[in-house]
Amino acid sequence: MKYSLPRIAFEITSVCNLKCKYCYNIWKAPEAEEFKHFNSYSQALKTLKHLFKVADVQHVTFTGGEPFLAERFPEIVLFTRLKNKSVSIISNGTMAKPEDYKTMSDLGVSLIEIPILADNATQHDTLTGIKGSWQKVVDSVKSIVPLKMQLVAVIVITKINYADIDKTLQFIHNQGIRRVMLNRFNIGGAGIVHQDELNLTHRELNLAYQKASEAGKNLGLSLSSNVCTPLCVVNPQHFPNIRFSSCSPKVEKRPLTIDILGNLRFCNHSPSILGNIFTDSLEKMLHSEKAQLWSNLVPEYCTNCELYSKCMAGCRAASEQLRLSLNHVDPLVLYKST
Amino acid sequence: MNKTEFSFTLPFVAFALAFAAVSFMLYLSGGKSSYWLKKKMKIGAIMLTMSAASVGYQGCITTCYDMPAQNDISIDNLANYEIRVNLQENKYITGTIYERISTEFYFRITDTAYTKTFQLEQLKADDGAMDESSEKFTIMLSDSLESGIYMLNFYDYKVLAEDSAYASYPSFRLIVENNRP
Ligand code: SF4
Ligand code: SF4
Repeated sequence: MKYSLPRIAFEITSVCNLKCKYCYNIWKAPEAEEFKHFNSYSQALKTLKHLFKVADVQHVTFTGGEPFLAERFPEIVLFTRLKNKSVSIISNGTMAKPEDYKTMSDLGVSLIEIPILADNATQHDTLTGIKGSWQKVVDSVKSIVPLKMQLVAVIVITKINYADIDKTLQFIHNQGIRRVMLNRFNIGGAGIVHQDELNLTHRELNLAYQKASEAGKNLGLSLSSNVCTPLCVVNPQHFPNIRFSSCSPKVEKRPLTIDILGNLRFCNHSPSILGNIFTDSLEKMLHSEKAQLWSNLVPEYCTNCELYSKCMAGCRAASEQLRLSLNHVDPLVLYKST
Repeated sequence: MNKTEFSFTLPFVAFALAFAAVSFMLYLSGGKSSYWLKKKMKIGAIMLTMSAASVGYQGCITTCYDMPAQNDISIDNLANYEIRVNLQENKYITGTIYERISTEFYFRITDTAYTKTFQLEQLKADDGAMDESSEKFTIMLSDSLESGIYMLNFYDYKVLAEDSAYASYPSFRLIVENNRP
């Protein structure tokens, strides 16, 4: 019998054309210099075939790097769709041409996420590290909006862009987009190097959510905050127009991530590999001691917290990225810089 | 094989053969020919509409960087991505709408070519009101459905009987057995 993995994130390539300061990709971390980049059509196909053989997967989210830079990406999407899996894509919105988006829509890709970090090129391009990226994103949006595929704008909230988040939401609204994901900067990858430029104090983060919540209400936007945020830092009840979510303690309901080599991780932010689908059984990997630690280990900081069952200590993958143990609460909790 | 099934199979086989041929040509080019790639994508997209591969994902998992689709319809009776019902044993299909944003939903049962409608009704929430982010629903299949393969299409807006039927978002293959005397 196949193991049920309803939804997986598939890292199809590590290659990317941008240099986002906040990029959480584990291969962007300072100590990952030896990392060997991956981008292979045949390897991606082999891994997906094997994955579909051992697991009952219903949805695949292609992520990267930049998926539209992946070798023969449209064919991989077609293969996945022909296997009757629904598909969504996390892209940086700068590589695909209008006809590529049209192809994705024709293949029944249900949703695409693209970052719109500011209402102006200066802030956006500062965050992505590449001049001209904002204009490319704006052009992409024009191509995607009329298509059947749902478009979700992503704002990564950082020190650089938080103060103008209401203007950014207005701009997003003006482009015809109605769904926005608000991702607070979550330390990891390249973000470790740039943390001083990006980290928000608790007060700044709350201010950003407050502005976003009000702007979202006035503009009729559907807002969600998906990166688990510690409840002692942000109280979701103060921001009724934003849907907050947190990681599930249930292993099957976690945002499990597989790269094209078959390495399985707990989520795309976590650097620790649970095993490889070619050599280890899913059952064994997902019920290993290492995996169970995520549910069973309550960080010392949180031991007496009544909110633990809802909060789960925030994002502990961020702790892992900083080479801290799972016994460490989300680093955001202890970040109090002025 | 009944007519409904036949109308699905014959063109599909033709496209599958064309797809294999085009894929082979693309393979010969080492995956580099944009001409054959375009053809492969085009035929693949047509095959997808014919086979009605589901476009909605089946269950609500919120992930950090990855957003679930809205008005997402999940079916409980789904096995191998098909719904099989024996009307003598059970005529109900149950499911859930996740991340609901629309207030009106309809379902329409058509043949696999989406040309003929067999049942069209508003989808009602089990608790009577479409007002929560997740809503459970139950569909009672019409006794008049003959044994055969159909498409169960969902719409997040009002659909009228006179509107021409077409593949919806999402749609599922529905296999009905009806051995009534
Ligand atoms: S965040 Fe995405 S777009 Fe930016 S560098 Fe990382 S992979 Fe590329
Ligand atoms: S579980 Fe830990 S991080 Fe979450 S609210 Fe409680 S003390 Fe804060």
